[in-house]
Amino acid sequence: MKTQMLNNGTVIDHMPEGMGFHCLDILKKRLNGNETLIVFMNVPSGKLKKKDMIKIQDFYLDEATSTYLSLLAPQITINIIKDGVVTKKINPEIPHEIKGIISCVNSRCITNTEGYTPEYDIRSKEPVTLKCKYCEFEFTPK
Amino acid sequence: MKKDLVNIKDLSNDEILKLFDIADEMSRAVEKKERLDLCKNNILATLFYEASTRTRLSFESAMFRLGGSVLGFSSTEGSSVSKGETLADTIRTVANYSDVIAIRHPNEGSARVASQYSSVPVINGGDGGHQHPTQTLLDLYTILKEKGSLSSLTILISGDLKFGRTTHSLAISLARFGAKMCFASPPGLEMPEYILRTLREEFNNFPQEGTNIRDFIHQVDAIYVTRVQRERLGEMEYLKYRDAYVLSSEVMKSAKHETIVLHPLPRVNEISRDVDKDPRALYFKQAFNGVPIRMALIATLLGKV
Repeated sequence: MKTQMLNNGTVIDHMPEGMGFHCLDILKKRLNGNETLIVFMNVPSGKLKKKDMIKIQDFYLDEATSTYLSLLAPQITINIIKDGVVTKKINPEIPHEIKGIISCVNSRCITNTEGYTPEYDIRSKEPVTLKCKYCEFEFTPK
Repeated sequence: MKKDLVNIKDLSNDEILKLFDIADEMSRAVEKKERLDLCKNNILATLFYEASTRTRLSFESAMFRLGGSVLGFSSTEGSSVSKGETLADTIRTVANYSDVIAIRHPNEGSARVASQYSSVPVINGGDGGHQHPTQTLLDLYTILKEKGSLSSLTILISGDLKFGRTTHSLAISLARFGAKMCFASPPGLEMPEYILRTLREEFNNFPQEGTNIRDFIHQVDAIYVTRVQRERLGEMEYLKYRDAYVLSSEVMKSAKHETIVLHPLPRVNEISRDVDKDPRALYFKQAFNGVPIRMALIATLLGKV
């Protein structure tokens, strides 16, 4: 299947099958609504057998969102394309700790009530498990 | 640099044992009804956003016994909190008026936030279902005083282990001192997985788990009972669990002669009143220990001992 070439923008690749629309949901907050984008689903892949992929014209993914996506799918790759050339290839690494980016899933956590920036230690990378530094609740981001 | 007690992990085992030595001295003063002058120029602020009897009063009693003064609130009504003031702003303000702050708050992680915004030491008096480190100190202190050791013991922790914050920090602390543990809780109120994982991975500690006190009572040196945390459950859920476990004098017949019974209090119906007469029931003595332990802690954080 031939796909449209992207001259300027972001390609989010190697998402596990079914993650495309979930990823789009996450990106909604970062997009202004005017970007042209294509979601590819069930694309044959050597590594994953089947993968999802998103191409977004004139949009450059920031580092925090890249990290967030890596928490959901550690094998994800992100290509930043300018003038038809890949200028940056990001294989986001899961950091040892995270500040902000994601809300604590514990509704009783103080970071959810008064807007303090949540912070996490990474307890495990496979599956990704975060431990809130405030309430110590552990969870796998979804 | 100021030192806080937000999480029991903020103290090393040596620091805990040193606090116990100081608490022994304080205990003698409390028994003689003495008022010391160690903290005569200091003020303790007690900020209690949630109801409390023992914790707040024992903090206040501890500070009075140390010769200091106390200010604060015991509910958010009548304070700026009811006007929507953030925890951070309240803490920054109160730190100007006091030398040490004890806080209880319904949100988990609140004491950590308080410690970040306070210029004076902060003591966590309970943050939601998360931690209650001063309760843990007095629980450990009581067990150590009564049994002479922690490492050789097997302790049964029973009740609402999901929301009972005292059980979380107690389990971790007992593991740190090498004790063996059994957990008994109704299905749905089990010890959270993150605590079990910490016990396994950090302390190589594998507690036996079950749903009934009777399964373990014959083999343990101490029984630690907790109530169902009604304030963290819906009413229907509370009713489901309310009578799920009761330590009665009948059940106590299966316990060893020297097995002690502890409870952080308040008790609802999880220990029958007829157990109070049993010399092995030590929960009111345990509550007494809250004063010397908190005296030792306040004096230590203020650099007075």
